[in-house]
Amino acid sequence: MSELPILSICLLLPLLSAAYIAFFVSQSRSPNKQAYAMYVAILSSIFTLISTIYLLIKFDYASDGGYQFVERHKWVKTIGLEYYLGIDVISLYFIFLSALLTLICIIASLFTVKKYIKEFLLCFLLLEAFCIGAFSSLNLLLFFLFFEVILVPMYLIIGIWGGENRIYASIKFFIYTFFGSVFFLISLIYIYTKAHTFSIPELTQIVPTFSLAVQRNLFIATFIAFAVKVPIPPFHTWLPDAHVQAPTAGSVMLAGILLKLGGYAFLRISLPMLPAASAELAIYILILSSFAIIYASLVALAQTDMKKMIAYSSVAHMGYVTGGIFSLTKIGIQGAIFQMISHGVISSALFLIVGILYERNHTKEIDKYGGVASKMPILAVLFMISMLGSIGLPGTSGFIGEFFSILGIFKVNNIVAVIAGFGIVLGAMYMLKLYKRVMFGEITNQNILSFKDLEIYEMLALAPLVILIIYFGLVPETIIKTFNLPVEGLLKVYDSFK
Amino acid sequence: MLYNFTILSPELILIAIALLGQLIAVYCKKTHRVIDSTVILCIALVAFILQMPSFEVSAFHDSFVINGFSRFFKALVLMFTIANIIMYRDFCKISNNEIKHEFVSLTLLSTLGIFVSISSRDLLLLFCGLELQALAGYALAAFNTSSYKSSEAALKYFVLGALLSCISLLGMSFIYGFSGSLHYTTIATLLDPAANSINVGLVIGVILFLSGILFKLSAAPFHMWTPDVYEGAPISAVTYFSTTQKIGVLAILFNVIHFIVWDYTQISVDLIRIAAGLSMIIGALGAIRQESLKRLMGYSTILNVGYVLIGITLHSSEGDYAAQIYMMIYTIGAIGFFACLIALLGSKAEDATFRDIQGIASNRKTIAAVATIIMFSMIGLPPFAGFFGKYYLFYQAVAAKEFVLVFIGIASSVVASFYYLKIIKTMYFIDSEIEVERIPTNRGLFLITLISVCFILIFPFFMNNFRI
Repeated sequence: MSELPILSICLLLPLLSAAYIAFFVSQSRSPNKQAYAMYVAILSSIFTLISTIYLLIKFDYASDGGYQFVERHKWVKTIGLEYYLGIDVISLYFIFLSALLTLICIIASLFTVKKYIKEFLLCFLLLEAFCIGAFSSLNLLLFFLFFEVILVPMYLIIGIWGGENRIYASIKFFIYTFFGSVFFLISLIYIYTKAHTFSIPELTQIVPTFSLAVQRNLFIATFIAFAVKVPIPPFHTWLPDAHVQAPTAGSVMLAGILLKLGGYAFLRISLPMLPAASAELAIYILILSSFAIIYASLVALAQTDMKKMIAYSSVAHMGYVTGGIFSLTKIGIQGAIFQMISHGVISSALFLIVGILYERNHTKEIDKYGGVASKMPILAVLFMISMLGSIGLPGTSGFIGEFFSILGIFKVNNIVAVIAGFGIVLGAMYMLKLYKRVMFGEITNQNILSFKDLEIYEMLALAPLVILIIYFGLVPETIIKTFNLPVEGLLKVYDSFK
Repeated sequence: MLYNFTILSPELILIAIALLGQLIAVYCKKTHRVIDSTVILCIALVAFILQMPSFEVSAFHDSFVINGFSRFFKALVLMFTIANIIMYRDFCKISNNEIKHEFVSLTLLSTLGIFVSISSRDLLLLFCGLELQALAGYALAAFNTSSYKSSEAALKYFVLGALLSCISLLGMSFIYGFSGSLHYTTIATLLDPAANSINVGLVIGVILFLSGILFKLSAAPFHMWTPDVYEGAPISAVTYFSTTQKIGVLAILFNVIHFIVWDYTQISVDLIRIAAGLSMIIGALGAIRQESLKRLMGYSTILNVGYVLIGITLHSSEGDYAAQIYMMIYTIGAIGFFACLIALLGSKAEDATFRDIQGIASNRKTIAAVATIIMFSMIGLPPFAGFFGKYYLFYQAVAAKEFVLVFIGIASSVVASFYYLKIIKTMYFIDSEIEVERIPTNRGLFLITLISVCFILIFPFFMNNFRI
């Protein structure tokens, strides 16, 4: 019996339901076609989530390295494009995260998005399909295809459903990312002219044999592309604008999945394919990462806008990711992967909470809040857990990621590690400040007196994230131990550089 | 002798369609009926061209040749011409303008000029074809007789075009004077770098002559006319200039480079390389501050011609192939965009600015979505056809180590993404200030946009088997 092409199902399900909404639901004359579109979107994302859970169950964690659920078909021979899917442990969790966050986003925005709800759902389904595609593709060009096309739905989401300054933010977001990815494209082409294949497993054998100078150029070119996505300062300036202007669900996807694409690309492409250059340039990226952590934390401290503060905290947290990856130690990379997953959950929860507050008060200014806890006790608890996760309190998922990353950096460079460690203190400062100002104190704003606690759909959206934060924090071992084999495989080439 | 004329039959049929249609239109009051039958005859002619032999057959003492290349390009050019005619008819219908058969006849005559030039292997014949194409083009640009802008555009086009025609004629006379022949192969043997001496006069001749062709392709530094003419000329004529004419002239350029200067790489390559780089820079930077959409498309044409020229500088069959598919993808996108513009704005498409398309997506969802897909394809985003065209082109250029041009290419494509995005932004993100007038859906325009967008979407799936 041939195996079920489960990855294709995960990829095509949202794509086909998006097409269904576009071509059939939108054209129908039924008066409640909007409700119909909602049902289609929810059902499709639930089924995608179930398929990814099936992946989680069926995945063979004990097998050494190697990609599983591989599907390979020829597509465009002249340019080396194949339909080549397969996953390892790292991509597995991100695929699950994409499916989960999409469902949560759709639930959270059903009652909050007022205009063009069908198109909104369509964009999210497309986004989900492209993210899953990017995380599961084993052909470099296919990866680039998804990496790039994600811009389209995200651009539209920010531009159509965003805040007052959305046009500026959307164009900035698009052009920044597009600028980065053309460098990626050129290095792709260069690799293909030398290697004549785009299959990632084969390229990890071929590309490391390139000379150091070539590797260095390729590394820098791809680094720009991925650094814009992550983002690492000085390529980060699109992020605060995009986050602040994007609708809540857009921010969640942006912070939860899109930023992780950069880190994932480092793990999938830069590290295994360009080992010599990575080993040589890793120290600069470590310095850049610690700079990112401190700089972004300090900037976050000065923000008066809740979303902007969380956006900058994302930059800081992604600093631990890049730091952990380029420590080139097992524990550092494990921490980085864990940090990506946990940040995906934590920042999504935080953005959802800001969205929930915004729905009630129509402002993101911290000063306009105060004393919300007395009116919204359930939210206060959930906010507390997410906030503590963001700070990195032991017992939450944030702690494990940051701790492991810093431990990894310590093995390489003490000074950088100490600087990065300061980031945790700064993180506690701004997050606690945010929580204190918003949740406690006198109620100065009369609007707050009429606040209602969480609606049932808001609970549904937030609860799984908060449960995951605690779950990851309490039993991190279940996840971290699955990283062992792929990370060891990744680092095998680096033994010769030590 | 009769055999010669059978080879020439597409051209003869085309001229018959153009002139007889004009004659009938004088007596028949229902012009659009005549145009419909012209379109049907042209479609039949496409089928006729496609069944002509793909091996090389020559006539009139080897000065007129048909082969697979000419067959493909003639069919393509004629298909674009048909689309142009349909768009003209529907534009007149939407904007309640009087429909005139002269436009159709002129378009067909211009296409006839392209046909002759594609097949010619003789400079004199080539010049006749190019001039026929250009003269009909000047008339097309002036077609909107009630508008000063249109006359001004036509005059500019005519003056510059005539000047460049003179220059290329001067080049031809140089070539003739120094080689003693007007025939491609004879000139090619004299230009052969393997021969002992290279003739400076011939080199000057070829450069002058190539400038004339680059002018018609609106490549920088011969691009000056493009934005002005595009802005002033009627939109149907602009569609013709930016699609049919560009494809045709590209085929002619291929012929000239293949058969005259093929081995003599340095002069042609350097000239075209400079033209490619300049076109990309000017096309990308010039468009940023434009308000008029037609003018913007003019710069977009310059930019994309620059990309196509990269393919030509590579001097390899893959490079040529990359240039051909890129040009095809671009022109199909461009014709789709113009069709969208007409369908969205009706008579206002004639001088459309960004103000006119503000927030138009809220009322005309389908067409706005189609225009968005075309714009994303022009930016070069996967998985649309534009990306694959650009990717293949850059791939060939990197393989040939043309790094400078590739760098300019990617930089300009980032810059260009700004103004393509501006169109999407204006349609979707900004709320409209002015009342949008309802324009009835039109079947012909719908068909053209549908074909265009389908091509853009499904091209990656048949790119594998796509060979010219």
